[in-house]
Amino acid sequence: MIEGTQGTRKLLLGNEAIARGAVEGGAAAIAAYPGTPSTEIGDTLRADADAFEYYMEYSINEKTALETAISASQSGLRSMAIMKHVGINVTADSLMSLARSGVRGGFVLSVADDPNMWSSQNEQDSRQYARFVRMPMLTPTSPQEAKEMTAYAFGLSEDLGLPVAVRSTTRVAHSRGPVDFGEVPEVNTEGDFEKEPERLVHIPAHGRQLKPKLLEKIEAAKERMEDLPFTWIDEAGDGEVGIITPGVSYNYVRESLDWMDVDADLLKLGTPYPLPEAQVRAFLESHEKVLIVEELDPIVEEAVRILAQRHGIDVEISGKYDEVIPMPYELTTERVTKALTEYFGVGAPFDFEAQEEAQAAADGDLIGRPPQFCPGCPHEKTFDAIKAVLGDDAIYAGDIGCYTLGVNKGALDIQFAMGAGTGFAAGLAQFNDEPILATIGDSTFYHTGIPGLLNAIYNDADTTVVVLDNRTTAMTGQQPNPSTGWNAVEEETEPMPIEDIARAAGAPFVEVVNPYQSDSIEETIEEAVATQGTSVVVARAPCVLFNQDYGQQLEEIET
Amino acid sequence: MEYNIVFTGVGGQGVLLASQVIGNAAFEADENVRIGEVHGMSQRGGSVIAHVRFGDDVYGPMVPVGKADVIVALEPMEALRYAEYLKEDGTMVVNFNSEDPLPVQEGQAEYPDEERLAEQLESFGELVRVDADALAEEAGNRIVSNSVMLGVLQAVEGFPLDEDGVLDTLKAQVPADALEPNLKAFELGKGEIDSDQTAPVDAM
Repeated sequence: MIEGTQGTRKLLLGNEAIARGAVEGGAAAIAAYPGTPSTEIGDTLRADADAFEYYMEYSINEKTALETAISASQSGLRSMAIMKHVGINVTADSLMSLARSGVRGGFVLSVADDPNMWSSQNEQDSRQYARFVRMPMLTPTSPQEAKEMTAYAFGLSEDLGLPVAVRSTTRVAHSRGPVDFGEVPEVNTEGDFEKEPERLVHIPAHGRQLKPKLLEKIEAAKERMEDLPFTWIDEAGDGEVGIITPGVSYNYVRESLDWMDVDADLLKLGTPYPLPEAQVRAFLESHEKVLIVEELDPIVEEAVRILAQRHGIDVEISGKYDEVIPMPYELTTERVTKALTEYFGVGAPFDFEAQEEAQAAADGDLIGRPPQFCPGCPHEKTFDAIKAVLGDDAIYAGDIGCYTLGVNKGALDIQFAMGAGTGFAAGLAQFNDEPILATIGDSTFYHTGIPGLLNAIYNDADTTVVVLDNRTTAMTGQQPNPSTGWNAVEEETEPMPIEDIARAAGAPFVEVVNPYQSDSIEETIEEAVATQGTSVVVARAPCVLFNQDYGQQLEEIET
Repeated sequence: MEYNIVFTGVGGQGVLLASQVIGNAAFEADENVRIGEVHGMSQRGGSVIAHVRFGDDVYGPMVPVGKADVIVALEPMEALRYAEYLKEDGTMVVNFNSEDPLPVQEGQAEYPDEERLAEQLESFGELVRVDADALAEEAGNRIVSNSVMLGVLQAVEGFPLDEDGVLDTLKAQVPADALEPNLKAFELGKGEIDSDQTAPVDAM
């Protein structure tokens, strides 16, 4: 998909464009954990791995992906870690240190946010991490710009000595647009790690030295952002009103102004952090009123308000704090148009109210189509067995994957984050008399489910953990994981049986069952619940969709 | 200039494929194209929407509410779910064969009355009712109903893409052995709208 010489033009998904950007940026190492809406970046790089020189892995979670990419960077290689927004939470500890150490080979954190929570538990704004970690960030508006920014970020990272994030959102990641290919450079994949303990060993004495260096680098980054090719001004207005807009919001503002037939100067920002202060200051000084239109949190708005206050600029600033632009959910052209008509005091270009009323009237007749288990899904069988044994008498902790659909079976009472279910099983057992049962998938178990299980066993929690092992990371499109038997580039690996991990940790009850044999699985769950201490049941059968495509290659796990 | 199409239906009906045929045809015609999709939770049986837009004034991937020139729906209730996207004088081409959602299959809800659905759809704009499933069967396979709908779209007055270009991308995107029923389906779909009048040739 992303093969092609300079000058090739293709209609690409935003995530495919980002993958091409990695190649044009000379990435020598790629590490990813799949998660919507970022998944196709890794899948594309994996599918085309043979055509290029880079090392590619699916890591077991985002933190190890980050650490693989950091290792490449500190060995002098250009590297990229890929994840969805909540994946950054998992990396946070190492990510903080990375900004302080700085990089050798260009380091790009490719992250996709999910405003509106199309496939996520929250819509946290990763731009918060940019300023928290002090990591420059670029935010693309289109697939073409996503490719360009990704390629550009590697050099920017090397010039600044800092990790650089490229943060897309669902409406860039999962949109298609024309993309012009650039040159693919020669890539060195031979690492040469240099020992620099003052920079790479984070003892407090070194940390104290590194902090002021980081602050200096960020000052240099601000200067560098003044010349960023992804920031520009669309001049159209009379100097009264200016609009500042980063990332995907630019599309909506541009379309709204055209629709409303209103003129305003537009400062399109390529970065939410750090701001090109001179450029923004000049824009503020040349307008009477400035509106900031951005999706989710008021990151740019806060920085702009601080800048205006510091320099005593007499300008009326609007955005989220005065509720001109809504805070939650993704923006759309119609949401921005409604906000702008009010802000400019002009008539709406379309009778939204009448249309919404008509839609609301129609909605009364509509029946929902909630996601459901695929026909024949082994997870559904396991949930049916669990419910047959425990009914509503247990407290059910759950996790993230297809099997979150257990909520529709009344088999999910608490579910927060990847791997949290085993942690809750351990904790709930200490404070409640009912049976406690946790469900978790194979990929999530390896991801962050193991510490919760170890904690349960170590602290003698009377709980049952059912691992729904379908041999693949099914939810995101059947990526391989340690249960599968091969890795991202389809090299054979030894599957890592979950029951062996549980036995090694000393769980008093560990059994493997076939979810399709309802009698024996029910019997096993009953025994597990009756056993004092932490019991582990591995319900193993390949995902039906995965089995269709890969059943021939999949070998039985023998333990 | 901009031209906006909303494709909708139920997971498994080929909504995304249909949207990509039109998106690619516009791309091959050197149009500035955007396609908006949502991946992830939209599994088999779920509600699916895809936005296809092209023209110099297009920036974002989503058709704004009130701006769709055409809504192409592979299922009638899904047409109504996204009817607000239609512009005032827009056209809805709808395969009037219902796919029962799970609550209906399980007897917990009743599928809305078809005539009432049609009436509500008509309150948003012009409705072209198509029996795409029957035409697809006539073409050789029920699964090519999405190609029937592409043919209907081709015949909508003002649809700006050249037919040969659309057929070229259709040929490029379907497997060789499925080509013939798809092409026949497209042709049958095209006959559903009389190009001189834009009105449906025969209402169901």
